[in-house]
Order: sequence, then structure tokens, then C-alpha cells
Amino acid sequence: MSTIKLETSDGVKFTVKTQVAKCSGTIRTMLEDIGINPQDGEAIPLSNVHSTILQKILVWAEHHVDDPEPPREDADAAKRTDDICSWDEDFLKVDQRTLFDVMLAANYLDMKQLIAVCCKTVANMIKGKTADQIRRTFNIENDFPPGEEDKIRLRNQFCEERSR
Amino acid sequence: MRPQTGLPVLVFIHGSGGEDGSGGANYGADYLLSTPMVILTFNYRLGPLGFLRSTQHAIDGNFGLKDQRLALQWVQWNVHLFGGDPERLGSCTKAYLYHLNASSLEALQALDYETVQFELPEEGVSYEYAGMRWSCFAARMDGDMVETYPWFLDKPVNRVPMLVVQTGEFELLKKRKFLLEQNYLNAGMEPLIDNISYTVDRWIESKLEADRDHLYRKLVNIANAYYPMKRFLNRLVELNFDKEIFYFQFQFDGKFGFGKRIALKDRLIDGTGAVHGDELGYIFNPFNIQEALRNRTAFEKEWQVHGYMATIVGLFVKLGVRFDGLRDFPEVLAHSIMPGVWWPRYNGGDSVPKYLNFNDRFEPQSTIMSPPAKNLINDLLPIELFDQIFSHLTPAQQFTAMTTCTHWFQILGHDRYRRRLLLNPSTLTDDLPPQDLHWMKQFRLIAISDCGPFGDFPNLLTGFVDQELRDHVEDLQFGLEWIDWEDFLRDSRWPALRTLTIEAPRMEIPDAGEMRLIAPNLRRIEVADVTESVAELVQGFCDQLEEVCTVMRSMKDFEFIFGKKAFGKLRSVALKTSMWKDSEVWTDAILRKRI
Repeated sequence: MSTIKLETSDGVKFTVKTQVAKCSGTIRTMLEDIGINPQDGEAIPLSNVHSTILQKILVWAEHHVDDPEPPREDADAAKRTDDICSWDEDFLKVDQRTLFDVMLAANYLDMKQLIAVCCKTVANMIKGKTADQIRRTFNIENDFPPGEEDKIRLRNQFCEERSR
Repeated sequence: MRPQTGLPVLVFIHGSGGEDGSGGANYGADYLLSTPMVILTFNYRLGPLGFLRSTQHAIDGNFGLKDQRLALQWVQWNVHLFGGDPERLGSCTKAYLYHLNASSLEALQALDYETVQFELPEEGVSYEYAGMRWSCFAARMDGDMVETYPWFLDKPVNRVPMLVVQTGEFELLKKRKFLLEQNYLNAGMEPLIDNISYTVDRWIESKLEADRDHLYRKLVNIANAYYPMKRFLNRLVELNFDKEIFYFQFQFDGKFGFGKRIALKDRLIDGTGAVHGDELGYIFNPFNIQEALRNRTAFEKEWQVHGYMATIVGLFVKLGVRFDGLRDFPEVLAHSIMPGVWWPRYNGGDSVPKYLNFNDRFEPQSTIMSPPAKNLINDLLPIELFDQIFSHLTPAQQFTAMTTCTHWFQILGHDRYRRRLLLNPSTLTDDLPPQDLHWMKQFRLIAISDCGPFGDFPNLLTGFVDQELRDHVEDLQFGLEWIDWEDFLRDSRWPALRTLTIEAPRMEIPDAGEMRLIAPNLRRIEVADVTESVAELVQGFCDQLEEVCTVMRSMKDFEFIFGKKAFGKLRSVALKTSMWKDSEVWTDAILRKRI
């Protein structure tokens, strides 16, 4: 099985199955369109990804390498967040720093499925919480000028979702 | 002495991993008894005598637990002779949460202790880690092995208020060891093991922690002691455990700590904090009570903390279900360095449950390892990722998120996230400033409701629904009986419209060809009634609709609505018996049969 080398921002080289590396749209494009030849033994530089994060991402890619192509993204399809598989759920039981770093790296590497599952995870951290609870979850400071928050609420009161 | 009756009863079941310990003289209770109660302790079989189990030799095991059960039964039967109230029986246990599953005498007798099993390899007896397992988990009562998922699957039978205390346990132990068992954080989750070293690197890197070794110890403690306890408590919360749970960390580093000063002395590194069992020296009489009584000034702080602890436990035993955190502790609060501190119930519905941290002062906290108080999400994530995250929220949730901070407000304030705008005579008035009108026209979801042809509303509405609005609307809910639909639809274009809900079904419908021009992207129709107009509308969009939601009382209605037209793209039909009932959804398989 063919492999390629990847080099992270901190200079760590990874030897990865080509098939696994191709979970990344960015790497796939490099290999297929730009014609970087993996046989040269040259490592592909991933200047935005730290080795600890790449390692995590490769674990994910390895696990999902045989996943079928995702169905065409339907813009108005119900945006579910309860369909995260349990392996992914465990995989993303990480501190926020790691979660966000994985998201950023997945974004850079163009790994749509991984980004989606991360975004769902974050969305689940928001769901069902009050604004104050959300702030505490993410250490967000309430930076609205005094009274401003109430104004937003007031202005939006007639357009909250209608309940059936 | 006047004999008292009806006193609350505290049964103390000593700990020490089922290997040693006793209920004897170590546990004097002078301070505790300033709250009137009956205190009992007892011994039970330990070590191999108490817990040896071998299927090969037909030894059931768990004799130690059965002894405890018997003792509790005895207390229930006899404690009234000692002034105790058998209905107010509380057990103070270091380890044996199993008894939670025994609410009454009957339940206690019926409790199947056989299901509580320890992992003893058939060849060679080892119960080294059994104690750790017990300390965190109660048995599973569905007959499965305790090793598999040793926390409650179902609500414990014995629903009593709980006061749970934990010390730093492992944090100061020289030998650090992650226990790789099902119970623990890192079991069966390989990515997590990577995460541990990663987390350590990060914390050191960010200078949140200077000492790598210390950080490892902290993590070991989190994985082996803190996390399992949280998991147990959170499981109870999940099960809607309906009695109060109060949880505190005991971290006071004082001279009454038997673990720190004597038992574990040689196995600890230098460091502040309490270790396993230290809290007992502040509930019961401390091991060095003689010395401490002789020299009260040198032990001033210890006596004070002892007072707090004995009061908390005493009041908890006394008040039972009426115990309500520190609000019932004027005595404690009066002495507290932080008067008025609020100690909420662990299962008080807070999304971030609070425990009380008990060191030199009382502090409600929610996490043992204070995370970097940094707003990582806003610092790190670009707007495109926020967009993806928010797209998974409902409009109402987006609205809540919007009020979190100005950054989120700006992102969610963007056109993409407009929530449903309700247009009716009270929201669409003639005194709205132009900037508000403009803002309202950016909405993706609009509901126009029927309030009758009163006042100026029809004119205002006609003026309001212009091309700017139509360009944005993706979801239109239309509930006007009195407005002429044709005025609304003809010669207009609704390029973004994907979902149309009609609550007023009598209207003139433009013909099908025209329809596609009007709303080329319409994919879903929901209607409130079966009328000719509705049927025409649905059939007019036959080659582009993917979902139809309709009221249907019989198959005849179904045929009436769908007619003889071919619905090539239809994926789902939702049927309701009335507009306000939940629908039954027919998806592909059923549809293929029907159409």
C-alpha cells in the first residue's frame, strides 16, 4: 500500500497511507491536481497543523477511511446533531482547546465530515442552555453595554419561533 | 438523664477497601453528637473472609456486604430500643453505595447482593483494586457483571438524600498510576490516552502549570477518583434522582488528617491538600484528640473545621430530606470566612453542577481543574466555522446564542440567521422606523397570521411585501382568509421560497406553469385542509415538491390531493388528522406503494 509523508508545523514527520491522507481534500488536491509525487520521499508540509493535532486527525481518518461518500449536502435538510456516532463522540471528548484546534486543522485540511461532526459537537454544547450558561461553558464575557441585552430581547420578541 | 426517642440514626460503615479497618474506637463522635442522634458502628468480614469469590469452588463471595446488610437490618429492627427512629436511618459509609439500593427492610432483604461481584481471577486471589472500584460505584442490579458498567443503570431503589464527600485522594501519592478499567475515564478510549499527554503538553506550554509531574498527579486523581465520582453523580442526575444530592470536596490540610499525617505518610509527596480518609478526622474524633485537647491554640484551625464538618454531617443526618445546602447552616455561616456562600444542590438543575470546595474557606466550584479562563471559542474559530455550528441550532436557540456576547450577536445578526418574523397588526404598524422595516425584510422565515381585515393592516402588508422581502423569504406561513392570494402571487417572484404553509385554504391558484416561475425552489408544502385550491396548489408543483404535509381523514383525501399527477421528487408525506395534531410521516418505502 502506498504511503506519503506529512510534515507538521513543529517539524514532525508522519508516514501515512495515501488512502488515509486523501481524507483531506487539501492533500488530495495536492496529489491529484498539482501532481506532487509522493514517491519522491519529500514530505508534504502542513504548516498550519501541530503534530499533536495531526496525530489525532490521523486516528480519525484511519477510522473513517472506508466510510461511504456522504450524501449530497442538502441545504434545507433538517440539521441534526443527534447523529454523531459513538466512536466520534468518544473521539471528541477532549478539552475545548483540542476540539477547536482539531476543527481549525480539519478546516485547513478540508475534511468536511470531521468539521461537520465537530460543529455538531459544539452545537450540542450550546443547545438547551441559557445565554448565561453558554457564557460559562465557553468562558465568554458578557460584553454588551448595560441594558443592551434587554433591548435585543425586546426587539426580537415578536420574531421568536412560533411554537406549534 | 431523660431518655429520648425518635432520634435520627447514623450507621457508620467503615472503609479501607474491604481489607482492613474496624468500626471501633477510632471513630469517637463527641463533636458529632452535639446534634442529638444515635450513632452505630460495627465490624464486618474483611479480606478473603469477606470477599473471596470463586465459581470453581462455589464460593459466592461478598460476605462482607451481606454482613453489612444484616447489620442494617438489625438496626432497623432494634434501634427504637436505643431511642432511634428506624425511619430516619442514615448510613455514613466510606465505600458502600450499594446500600442505596435498599430502601426499606423489604427491599433490603430482596436485594440481590450476588450481583455485586468482584473481579477475582480464578487462579490466585487478588482483591487489590476492589476497594477503588467500590468507592465509586454501586452495583448494577440487572444481573450483569459489575465489571461491565458498574454504576446505576436504573434509579436506585433507595431514594434518600445524599451528602457526598471526596478528598484529593490520589493527587499526592508518589506512585502514580492510571487504572485502565471500565470504570475509569481512559478505558476503551484510545484517543483519550493521546489526549492525556497532549493536555499535559498544552498546560505546561501555556504555563498554566509549572510542574509536569504535579500535573500528571492531578490527572491521575481526576481519572481515578474525581471523574468516577462525577460520573456516578451525573448518572443519578440523569436518572432524575429526586432526592437532594450535595457534594463537596474536602481539601483542608490540617493536623487531624489521619491519611496525610499517619497512614499514607510515607507514600506521599510534599504538597498541600487532603488525602484519602482525612475528612473522617473532622467528622469523628481525630486520632490525636488527646494532644489536640491539651493544646487547643495549636489546633485552633483544626477544631474550627471539625466544628463545620460535624455540623454539616450532623444537620444532614438530622434534617434528612429537609437539608438544603448551607442555607440550613446558620451555625456554619456565622463562622464562615465567606458568609452567605451558596452551596446549591448538585442535582439542582444547573447545567454545570456545583460542589463545595472545603479547604480554608467555602467555595462553590464546578470543576476540580480550573480550566484556562480563556475565551477559546471566540479567540480561535473563524466565522465560517461559527456559521456551521449555528446552522445546527433552531431559530430559538440561535436567538439565545445571539444574546451571549457581541461577537455572536454580530455573527447571528447577519441575514443568514433571521428567525421567524410574525406579521400581524400588532407587529406591522405604520409607525415603524425605516431601519426597522429594512431589518424586518431580511427575514428568511415569515408568518402572516389572520387577524381579520381590520384597520390598515392589509394595505401595510401589501406595501411591505415587496421584492426585497420576497428575495429573502425561504419559509412562508400564510394564514390570511381575507386577502386575495392572486394579488400575492401573480406577477411576483419568490426565488428563495422553499417551504410554504397555507392555513387558509380557499384561494385562487395560478396555473401550474406560472407556479414554477413564481416559486422555482419550492420543495415543501404544508396545508391545513383538503380543498380544491389546495389540491391544485400541490399538483401545480408536482414535479418539484419533495415533501407534502397535509390533513387527511381518509384515502379519498389522499387521492384528491395528489390526483393523477406524477410526483417525481416526492420523498415524504406527512399526514395529520388535524392541523394541530402531530403528523404521521410516510417516507420512501410506504410512498412507493401508495403512489
